[in-house]
Amino acid sequence: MHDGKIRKLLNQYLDEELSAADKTQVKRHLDECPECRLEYERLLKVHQLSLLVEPAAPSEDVLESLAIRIRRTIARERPPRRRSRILFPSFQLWPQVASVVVILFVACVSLVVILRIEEGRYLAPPGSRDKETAKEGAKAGEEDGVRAKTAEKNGPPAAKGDVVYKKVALPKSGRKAAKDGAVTGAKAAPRLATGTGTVAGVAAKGDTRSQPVETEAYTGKAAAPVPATALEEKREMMSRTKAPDMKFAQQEVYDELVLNYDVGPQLLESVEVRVLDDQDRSRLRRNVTLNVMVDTLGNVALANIIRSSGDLKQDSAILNTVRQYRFEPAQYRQRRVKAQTVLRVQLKD
Amino acid sequence: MKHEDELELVRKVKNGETEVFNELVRCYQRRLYVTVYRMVHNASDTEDLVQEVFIHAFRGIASFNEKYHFSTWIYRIAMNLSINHLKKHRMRAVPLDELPEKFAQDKKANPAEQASESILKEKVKNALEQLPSDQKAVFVLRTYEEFSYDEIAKALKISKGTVMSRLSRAREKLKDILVAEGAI
Repeated sequence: MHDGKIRKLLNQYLDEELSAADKTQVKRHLDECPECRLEYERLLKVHQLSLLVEPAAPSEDVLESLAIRIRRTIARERPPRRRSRILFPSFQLWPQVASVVVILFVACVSLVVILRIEEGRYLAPPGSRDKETAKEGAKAGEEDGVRAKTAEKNGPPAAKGDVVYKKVALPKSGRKAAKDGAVTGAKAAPRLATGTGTVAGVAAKGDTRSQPVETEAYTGKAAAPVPATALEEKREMMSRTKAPDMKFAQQEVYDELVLNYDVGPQLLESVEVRVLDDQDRSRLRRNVTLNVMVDTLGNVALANIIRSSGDLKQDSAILNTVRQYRFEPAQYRQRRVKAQTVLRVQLKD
Repeated sequence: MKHEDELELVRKVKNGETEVFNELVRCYQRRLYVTVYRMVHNASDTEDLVQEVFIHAFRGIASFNEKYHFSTWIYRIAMNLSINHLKKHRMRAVPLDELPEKFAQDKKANPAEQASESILKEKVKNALEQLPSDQKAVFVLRTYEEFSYDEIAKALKISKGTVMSRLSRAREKLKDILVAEGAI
């Protein structure tokens, strides 16, 4: 054995923790190697000096008073309880059990969130999820179905809802369109709260007519089938929203700020922003950037300056002007939504 | 006390015979007092810590695994509390010698010899004070309690390799300090 290995074993040799064979080898080496022997002697000296400071036993008085203190404290303690073997099979397993429970909980929460995102429920208004509302929708659909049939027979437009109307050209005409409308309405009726039957009536006539903008207008039968699962409902809605004729009929308005909209707010009306008369034109920055929040009616709900003109008074004037702008609201899944957009304003002299 | 006798006492305490715990206190308080004192070097702290050790033991005795020795278990509590105490009071100046009033002194015939040994003891005490608490715990259990490496490993819940390395480092550090102090 070389010196390095022997020196590593010196502590164990001192503590008599070596096997007989190693002990013999170390002893033989120490007899031959003066350096290792000196090292061992120093270790031995440290050990002996440490034993020198070994205190004598504490006095009986100290121990007695300590025992009394301990006894008193323990007398106030509750007796130790043994855990039930059935309820608590092994104390050591609790951390693992807790970990599994936490993992399962997180997995469940993630699953629910993913499903909800998939269904687009985050954007749905509270009323559409309400069962009561669904029942009302079904009832309305039932009534609409009756009206649609009447419209199909009679040709003249059915009663219109008290809503805003927008002119649209319907590609289908006459009975076929009415039939399509009726069939779609029958499927959709259970979930729609404000059906009126107007579309079917208009379509029956095969004309370019007014159509409700803010309502879901479908016709349907009384015994409208209820989709079995939420996924089916979603598919149903998707299939209907894809139909070009139903674009506006599907439109709903949600007063919820949406960040990932499909179509951003489009500027309809704007006014030129001019440099104020008392401004130092040489120092003024002409390109000003703003962050604008457009509400569902196309008005500016909030405006902040991101890149300033360099003058507070001028910035204030820009903000006042921009607040008067009108926008086409942003759309998300064919619904009008509140959204933010970045607006760049060029100052004119 | 034999291992079986200890286990019998422990079972009785577990079954609600709390007064039996005083037997265990009587059996271990002296040894624990000395060991804890070697760790913290302060009589009043030692008394508080020993009391705390027994209270911890009493509260946790229901979870004591009977395949281990009670002594190993209670020493583990004592060393953990001592290490925590040292970590908490690391910056505090520790009086070097509070023992004379509380400990029975062995009288030396020669006052000069006594003075010389007293200086040497102080140097060793100072050196021990400078050890990190984890190394000190291993050193105390090995040097004064004469625990085997395996027993130290069980008492401190560390591996045997860690025991050896901590002990080696502790002795190395003590050696360096004592050489520098001229004690060796």
